[in-house]
Amino acid sequence: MNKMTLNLGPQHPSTHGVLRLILELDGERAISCEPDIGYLHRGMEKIAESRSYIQYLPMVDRVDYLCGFFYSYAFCNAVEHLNHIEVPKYANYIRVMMMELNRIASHLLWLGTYLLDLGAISPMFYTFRERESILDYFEKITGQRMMYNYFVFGGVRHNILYFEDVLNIVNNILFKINEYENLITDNPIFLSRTRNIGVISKSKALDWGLTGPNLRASGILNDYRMNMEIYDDIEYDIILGNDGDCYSRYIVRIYEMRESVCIIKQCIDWLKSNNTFSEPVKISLNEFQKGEIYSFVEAPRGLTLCYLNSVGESTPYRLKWRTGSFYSTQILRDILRGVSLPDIMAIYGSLDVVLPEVDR
Amino acid sequence: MNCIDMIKMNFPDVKVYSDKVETDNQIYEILEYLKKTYELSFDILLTVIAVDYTDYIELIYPLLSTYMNERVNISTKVREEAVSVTSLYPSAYFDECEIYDLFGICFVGNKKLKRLFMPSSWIGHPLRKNYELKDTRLSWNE
Repeated sequence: MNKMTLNLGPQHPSTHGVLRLILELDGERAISCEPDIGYLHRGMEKIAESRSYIQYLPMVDRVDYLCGFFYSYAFCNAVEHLNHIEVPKYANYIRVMMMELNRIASHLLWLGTYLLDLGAISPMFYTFRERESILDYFEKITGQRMMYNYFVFGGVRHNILYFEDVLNIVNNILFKINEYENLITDNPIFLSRTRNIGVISKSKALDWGLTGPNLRASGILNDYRMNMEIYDDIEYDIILGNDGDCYSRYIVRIYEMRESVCIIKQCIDWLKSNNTFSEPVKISLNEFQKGEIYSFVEAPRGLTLCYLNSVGESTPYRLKWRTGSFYSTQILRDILRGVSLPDIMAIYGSLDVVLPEVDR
Repeated sequence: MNCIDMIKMNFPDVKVYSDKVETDNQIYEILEYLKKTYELSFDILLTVIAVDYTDYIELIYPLLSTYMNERVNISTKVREEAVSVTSLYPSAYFDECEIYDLFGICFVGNKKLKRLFMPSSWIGHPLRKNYELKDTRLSWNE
């Protein structure tokens, strides 16, 4: 047997960041894979220990730049729980709406780049066109396209208007998702590249700590939105796949976008009928409570945990991020065994890994 | 009977706090019990959190049961060495490497410990409280 060691990355275009996979190959089959991460390590957790809570707030969006709202929410929620700050219901609805719009934007980016990895160039342009409309809306509201810094302790920075814009955007996206499905879902080339490729069984998915759409694609019912207070009054379906292959991960994400649209519409209905915005309360930075808080949020790439440990100082004593991609990268050590080289990027792409989130 | 009561019944030495269960040296046994007991089946180890309290380091294991939709946090205090749980939860491998890298704790039983984020030649463990922030090494590429 002729073994060959191949370095995939760190500058490989399909890794969407800087990930190095050390592959051991026998001909075209991978024998083992060792992901090497850390190229984007910015020390987010160490930085938190030397910044005050307010100073750290803009940094939070940068943990994962594709879904900043979720990270802002996790951090704000932790601080609010620690200091018993009440968040108005109106602000919570705005948060849910922005997070779900962000989820659509994130899934759209995944869809475009995943098909690009598989060799289909045109879907990228279509998905980016729709994503652009969401980012334009974010820019209108928050002033930023990716690093929003919009959620603050005790609510959101300012009221949102332009509800009609959101409705137009989501209705358009709902229409366009059907268009993508016509292009992609039954496409024989796409099917042959994704059906029964990279199958992750239930037990494997659980053992390796997968969460979010990747876990649900394996057929396990687990959505942390069920436990989140802010989703209590909102109705939505949880999408489950049954095969655990690349194709079901694609299907789960496509349907999740539709569910997000449904959630956004419910939010807009509520916001329109109860327009009662109040400015977030001013909190004193010198009187932080002591304690440990586990703040969870269901982000597009899996369950995100913000662990906050405060000893009563103006800076966090310890802050830890648990991100979904960290575990999606790790599972490559197991599932790439015996996989042929062209399938590696198909599998890796389907897991929706974003590297800044892995390295933090 | 909830899971905290069940842990307490089987492991009488544990201390129960409002949001975590603390154990001295039975961390592997408790995790094994929580994972393999059918009524509990805590099947996902979400992460391993390390907190440096200068004279000891606390490791927290947040577990999630997809079957019951419940969470529990198990914690233990360590100094230099800890027990690896990779044989129970393979997902702990990266977490343990991360803690080895940033806190300098050796996990007994994890044979492939390596530095995950920092370069392998790095000296010191950045997330420790006694780590010197104003490091004179400008770049590790030099």
